[in-house]
Amino acid sequence: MRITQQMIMRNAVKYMDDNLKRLHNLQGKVASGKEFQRPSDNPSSMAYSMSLRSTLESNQAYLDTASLVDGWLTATDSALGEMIKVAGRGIELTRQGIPDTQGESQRAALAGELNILLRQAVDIGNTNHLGNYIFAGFQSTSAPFDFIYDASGTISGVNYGGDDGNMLRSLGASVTITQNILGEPTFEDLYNAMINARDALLSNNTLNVQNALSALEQALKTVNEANTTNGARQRQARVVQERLEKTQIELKSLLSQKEDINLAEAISLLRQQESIYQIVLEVGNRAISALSLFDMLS
Amino acid sequence: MSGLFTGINIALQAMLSNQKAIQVVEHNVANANTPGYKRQEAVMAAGVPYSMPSLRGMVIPGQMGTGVIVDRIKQFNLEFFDGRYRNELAETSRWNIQRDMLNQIELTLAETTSDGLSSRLDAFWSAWQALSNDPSNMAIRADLKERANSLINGLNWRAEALVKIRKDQDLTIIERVSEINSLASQVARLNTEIVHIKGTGNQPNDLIDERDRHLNRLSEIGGAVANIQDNGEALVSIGGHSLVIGSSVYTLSTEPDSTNSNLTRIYWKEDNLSFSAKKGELAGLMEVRDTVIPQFQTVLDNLANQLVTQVNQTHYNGFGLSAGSFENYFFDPTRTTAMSITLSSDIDDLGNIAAAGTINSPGDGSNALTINVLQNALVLEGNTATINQYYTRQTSELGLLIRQATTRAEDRRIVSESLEMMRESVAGVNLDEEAANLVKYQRAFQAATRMVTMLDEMLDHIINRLGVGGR
Repeated sequence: MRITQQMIMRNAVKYMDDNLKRLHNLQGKVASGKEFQRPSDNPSSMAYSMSLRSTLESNQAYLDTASLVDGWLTATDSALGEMIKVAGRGIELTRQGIPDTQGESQRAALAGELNILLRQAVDIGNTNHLGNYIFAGFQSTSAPFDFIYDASGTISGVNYGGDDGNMLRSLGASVTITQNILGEPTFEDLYNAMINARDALLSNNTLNVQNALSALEQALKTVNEANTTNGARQRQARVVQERLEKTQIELKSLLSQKEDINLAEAISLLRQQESIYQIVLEVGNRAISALSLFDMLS
Repeated sequence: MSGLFTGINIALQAMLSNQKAIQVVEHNVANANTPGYKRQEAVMAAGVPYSMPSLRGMVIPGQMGTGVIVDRIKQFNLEFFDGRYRNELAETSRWNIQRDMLNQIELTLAETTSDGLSSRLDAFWSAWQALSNDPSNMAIRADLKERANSLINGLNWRAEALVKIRKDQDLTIIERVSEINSLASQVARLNTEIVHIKGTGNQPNDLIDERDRHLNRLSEIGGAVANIQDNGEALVSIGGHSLVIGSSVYTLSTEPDSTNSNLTRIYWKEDNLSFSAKKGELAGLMEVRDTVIPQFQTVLDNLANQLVTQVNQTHYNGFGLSAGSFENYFFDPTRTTAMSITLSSDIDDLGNIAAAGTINSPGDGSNALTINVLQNALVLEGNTATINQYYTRQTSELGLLIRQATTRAEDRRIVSESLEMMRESVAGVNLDEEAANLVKYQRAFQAATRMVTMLDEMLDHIINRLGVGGR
């Protein structure tokens, strides 16, 4: 084949171009730390990493939900614990009022104390967690319980202003959990039983006090059941949370495997490419400035 | 006497011929880097001999040579593979331009790792979940609206940019068409000159080179095919229609096509036939303009449409914070394209975002959760893909299209480069060769001048010294 200077020149330039392109690609990879930056760099990996990112994002949303749910359940737990204590104290006071040895004045004192406990219990029913009344159903922006007073100004009942909305929270594509305990079915009996016990003590009737005591014990059972339900929910939420956290870590490492470069490998490739480029430049220099016969003729 | 003078004449012919040959070498050296130049060579031939008249025979002792003449200036030509070369050129430039255009689209859709439409979609969906967790929180409502706006901006901006790219391509197409017209008229002019010069028996080498350059460019733009006739004329056709016949030219015109969003239609001025390029830059430009960009415009529109329809449907059935807040839209239901999508004025009041599934329930986030779950609904591609999956698939398809164009451009480049090398190998200028030729002709020239001196001395003897004996 006949070779001309143009061919040598063109080849030299072409090889410089090719090598510079490779150097450019490697530099981009090392500088960004990513295997690909555009869909065309690696279409299938890009699609995979896009869907990984979507999953990561929705998982993060579930995780955020889980920690909010956990906070809510903890608040519920401590409120219910308080309520159980109050109810226990109410039962104790009522029991003290049963023996016939108790006179009318002692029973009245016990009734006074029960009245204070009732206020405490309603206060607990109006527990607010981060701006939400947790026992109000969907009416979470206003306090669910208020007192009904009779003509003489004593508390004759407790009114429930909430509703029966169940707050469902999603902790996964198919995992939902109810986070709230409804105030009405849980506390109403207790409040009524406490009012009855107070009135029974005031009426100084042993039989009435005994009846009120068993009603109170029954109402405490309801609260206890609610507490058990809440505890079970807490466990479920924690399990899901742990699983989500684990998944999140796995997803991140998958994403990193897909997207992130192996720095050691990339840098050594870059070095190698740099020295190849240097050699190409050297060769190009010789090709371009090569002597021709014209230089030799005298 | 006549013999000696003939000798001077032969020497003179030799000097002139070698001078001409040296001039051709100079021309070669001067054009060593001229694109499309084909090297030339002075072809020398012996002059026409004549028979010596003699007494006894017709020709004795034989025919006498009359020295050297330059017969013609030969051009190293490869007409047989010009066609193949131009074909590859057309393919290379087609895929090159297609790759560049697709790269532009890719940059526009900007599906980079962290800030693409896909991550904005993700953020939008998870904002609904955040709202469902705390539906009465105004800050979360404001955040949701902000993320929705960012998604909308992303769609609007991309749709507008695609339209812009399409318009730019249209301008390029118009520009290329006028380049074809101008090249065609130059080829026609050169045709006339070449036929004329060939008619006088000469070889119009440099004019042919110039015409070849124009023909190459015509192939690059529109995949033009040229046929060289015996009289030196080039017949050029493009897309199956004659472009140049002899000295006459057919002209391409452009007009806005009302059936194709007022983009340019190309047609032949003389017979009003539509023109569509099958090769060359024009083919690449037209394919991207008429197939690829509309495809991705449809993708964005489908996305926007599903987003508006699905979210609105659920939103409309939900309830806002206040008792009178229901039957509100989230997106403006009348604007369902990527270009026009916008938030509904219903949610100017953040309280109207329908997070609740029951009326007058500020703590109810069930409707927000239903909207969040829409991200898993299979609503696109014949109900086989979620909104996110659909976009991901289309993005990776774009990536594949670009890969394909890049590979093809690269393959074609390698073929056309090797053809170019073959051409260069035959027709290119080798400076060493020229230097050697230069020396060769220079020495021959020197010898010829020496011959003149010798003959001069011989004549001197005859004129000044012959017959002067005994003086």
